[in-house]
Amino acid sequence: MTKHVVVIGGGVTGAAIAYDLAQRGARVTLLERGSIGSGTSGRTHGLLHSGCRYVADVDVARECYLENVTLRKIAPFLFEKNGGLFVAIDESDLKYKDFFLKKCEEAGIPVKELDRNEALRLEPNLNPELKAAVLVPDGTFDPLKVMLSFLASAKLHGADIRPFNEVVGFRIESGAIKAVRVLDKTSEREYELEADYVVNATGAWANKVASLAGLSVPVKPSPGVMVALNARIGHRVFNRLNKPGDGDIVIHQRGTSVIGTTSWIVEDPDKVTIPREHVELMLKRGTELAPIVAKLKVKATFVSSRPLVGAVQASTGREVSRSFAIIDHAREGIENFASIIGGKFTTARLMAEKMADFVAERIGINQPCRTADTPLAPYWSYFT
Amino acid sequence: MNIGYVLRSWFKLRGRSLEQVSFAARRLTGMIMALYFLAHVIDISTVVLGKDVYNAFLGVFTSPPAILVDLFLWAALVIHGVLGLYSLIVEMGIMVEKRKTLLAISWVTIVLLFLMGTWVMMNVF
Amino acid sequence: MKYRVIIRKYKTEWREPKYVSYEVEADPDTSVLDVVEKISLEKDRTLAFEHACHHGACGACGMIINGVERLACITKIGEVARNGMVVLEPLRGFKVISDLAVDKSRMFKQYALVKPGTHEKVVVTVEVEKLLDCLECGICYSACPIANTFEGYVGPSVIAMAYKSSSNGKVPAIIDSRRGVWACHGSFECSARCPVDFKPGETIMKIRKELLFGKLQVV
Repeated sequence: MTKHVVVIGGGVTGAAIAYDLAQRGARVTLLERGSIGSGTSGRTHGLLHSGCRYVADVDVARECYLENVTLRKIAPFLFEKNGGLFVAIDESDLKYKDFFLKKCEEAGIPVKELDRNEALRLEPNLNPELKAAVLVPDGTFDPLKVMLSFLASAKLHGADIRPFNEVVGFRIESGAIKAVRVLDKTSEREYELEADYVVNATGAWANKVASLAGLSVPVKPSPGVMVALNARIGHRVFNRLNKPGDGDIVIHQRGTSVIGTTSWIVEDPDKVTIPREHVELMLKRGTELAPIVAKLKVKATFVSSRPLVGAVQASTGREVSRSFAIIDHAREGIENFASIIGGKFTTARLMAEKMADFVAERIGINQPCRTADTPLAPYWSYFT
Repeated sequence: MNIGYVLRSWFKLRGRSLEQVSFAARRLTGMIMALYFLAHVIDISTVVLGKDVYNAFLGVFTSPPAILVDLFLWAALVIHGVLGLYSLIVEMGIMVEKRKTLLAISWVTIVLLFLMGTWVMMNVF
Repeated sequence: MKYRVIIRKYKTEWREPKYVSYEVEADPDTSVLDVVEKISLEKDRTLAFEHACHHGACGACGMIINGVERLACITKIGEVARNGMVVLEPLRGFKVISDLAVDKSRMFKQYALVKPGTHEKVVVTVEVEKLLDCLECGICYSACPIANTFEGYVGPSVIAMAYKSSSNGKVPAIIDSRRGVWACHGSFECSARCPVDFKPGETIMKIRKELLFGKLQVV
């Protein structure tokens, strides 16, 4: 009998997990309370990280870069693969350069230092006072289309994708989830869905969902403000050459440039408001990288919560990577339930691979992961 | 899909551009003239019913109230014809970038031709 | 400022949609989407609507706001409200899944026939990659009087995408057919409502001209 896995959460993590498990032969149903992309993943900056931003932690940076390469391989049609520039504007930036270059090399990320004039020739809107520039293999994407591609691939393998279906409870018997209680918003009716294994891939909402089963997940919802401008000011991603900070990235996609971001912690990811000072800070920092920002108008401001990993106790879970964590709720008495938190959009496929390995082991599926080598289905086939 | 849905789709005008309104005008005048043509064929064919019946019909159609109907038809003809010419040009991909100017000229022409036709009809009949 | 937001609601097995009114308090600079999101979190848990990027870059939140097609995320409520009232309806020409969410498969089904690319080449100092501006939001389908009523019409955005992303300067044969460019009747409402100025109407006419004068080949 094929085992039935219910994946809760239709963001990029849930979508990639549904794809991986369906490809390995599990029967998968994905439940998302809103529309596809309505959570954190839809409001991502849209940066296909080269990993260079995290070079201080070489392992994290390397992991990011390898996923960058994998995604370019399996779905080249989803990305603007123009690379990015790390730009030094002031002395503090300039001092960071040698450390930066050394760590990039250690992490195995191919970067190239450009001279001032070359950088300005490639990107004329950059601050002409720039002191140094390094070319890195960044890329940009439309998050919604990436999610739809993963979901289209999942559907190809028989997965049942259900947006507007919100999990409102669990039926737990003898230390296992027997069924998930779901509210179908399109019909306003509740129903029960039986499951052999349940994956909580709701990111910033992971604790809210886990508490429906009387459990907790150490996730810290961490919003960050993005500011979209009414014009596109470059082709390659603009990064500030320094330790990661607020407002140090400007990404360009289609006809817009977006400056981001900030970071703070909230209790409830459904109750976030945008502080005015953050918007002003983004504009100020954006102007430092590219003076033309001061002449542009703000098209939109948006915010969504990252699923930061809080303190993970040794007794409740394990970190499969320093950048994300799988929480095995068997250690808390429910044997067929696990949550996944942390991570970045760029590493979603890897997170899904680890989670799928974890689940497959527990439901008796013996297939290896093939998502790194299979081209993703085109996003439009999700609808057909 | 029913006739109501189709009509509402062609004739949605609230907050629409002049081009959409002109499209609706072309559709409407086309429909009116098609219906009129049908009616006209029917009334002319009354000639088979004899001279008296035919003359009686013709009497109705040239009486003063009928002039208003004629003006109305003239308007429909002028709108459909001039916008049809506009369509012909733009829908071949010619003057697409300057179509708004061409459309404005078309509507001015429509008003002028309508007024000229009205003057002719008033003074001849 | 107080606003009255009236949303056309529809759930499966309802015979007819219902217009439901919500009173909200919002800054006139708030986007219509943010207002709708707040309503869904605080007043109406089953309100169904589509949204993702919240900055006019993904095309998910297209809807009809006071009779006109727009992206809700970049439309400020203060600019569209009439006497403090805003009426929200789902896009036309698509089957309604629920409330403001529609099934866009009628548009995406055409992609298999045409297989548009996703990129266009741009040359600045060197050649760079750029995703086509088209967000695939479906607003042009909703605005087009032909797309509303002719199921088989490939549609303004798909035709324009096939042309602009063509790698060999040719277009699929279906473009040069009754289902392609020749279905258009020049209302240009698609271009008038397009949120990214992709100019589908102008592109259709350009294709026609090139076909008529033998400058464009079909595959």
